[in-house]
Amino acid sequence: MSRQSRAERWYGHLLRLYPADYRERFGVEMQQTFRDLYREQRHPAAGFWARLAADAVRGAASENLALMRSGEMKLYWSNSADQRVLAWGIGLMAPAGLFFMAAAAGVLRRVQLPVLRPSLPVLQILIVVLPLVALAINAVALARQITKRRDRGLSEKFVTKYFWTLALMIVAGGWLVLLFGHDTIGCALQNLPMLNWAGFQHCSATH
Amino acid sequence: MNNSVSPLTQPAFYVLLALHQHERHGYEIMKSVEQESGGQTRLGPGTLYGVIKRLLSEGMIEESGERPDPERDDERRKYYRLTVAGRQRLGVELGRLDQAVRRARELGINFAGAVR
Repeated sequence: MSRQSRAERWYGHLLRLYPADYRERFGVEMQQTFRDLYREQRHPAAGFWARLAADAVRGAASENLALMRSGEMKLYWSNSADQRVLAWGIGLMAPAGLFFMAAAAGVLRRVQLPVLRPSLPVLQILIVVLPLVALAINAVALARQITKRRDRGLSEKFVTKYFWTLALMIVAGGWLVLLFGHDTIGCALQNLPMLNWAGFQHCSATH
Repeated sequence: MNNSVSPLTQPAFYVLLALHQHERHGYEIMKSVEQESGGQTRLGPGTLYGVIKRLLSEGMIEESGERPDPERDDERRKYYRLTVAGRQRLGVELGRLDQAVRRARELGINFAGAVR
């Protein structure tokens, strides 16, 4: 594969960030314009690629926002390749939510709220149950959408449901951190994989 | 002069300016914008086609069926040209800019931004 072909293929991947109907309308022209632009560069430097990538990402963000505002979000996820991209994104949401909780714990560990603290078994249940509920909602919704809406694209309701799930995890995580502080959460998470009740009692006693 | 319309964005202004003389395809528009702006405005394909989409939807430009050199040109290229509405809009914008420059000169502001 020639250098030009590789570059065009790479730019084609970038264009996948755009809404499907936009790509259908302008995709070929944008590829053609990129081809001309690339030919002009005898030795494309890193700056050329950086400008091009920034331009494509900015343009795609703007077009997707415009689509969301117009209430035609479902058009965006109009083929199975787009659905795969979304599936990966959604699959990473739950770990990202947990990571966010851990990061927030580091920032907020000194915050103390004058509220009643639930007992440690309740904390354990919340830590285990909330992400599992979020994951279950994600998995069920994703499976339903991909099997039943393969040809029609994902619905706006479906996408909204995912964002609400992520928001729920972030809020729940933040709430737990505010309530218990970083040390107790960290200790509880460390003991979680073994479901070690003695470990939880230890956390409660030491933090 | 119609002052009720909002000013054009800089990329939109230069795209209309690029199409003022004759129809052009995307890459030609891009090069013309760079040249006419003295290299200060450089559009990537993403920005360019975002502007083209908006100008098409507002009826200021349209696709042109004519091809200057059909023998040598790639038939997948699309050419764009100004509509009557686009030409009028460009005139309004030029008038607005001209008025702003005249007012600045009346206030004694030169191109370097210094006050006499």
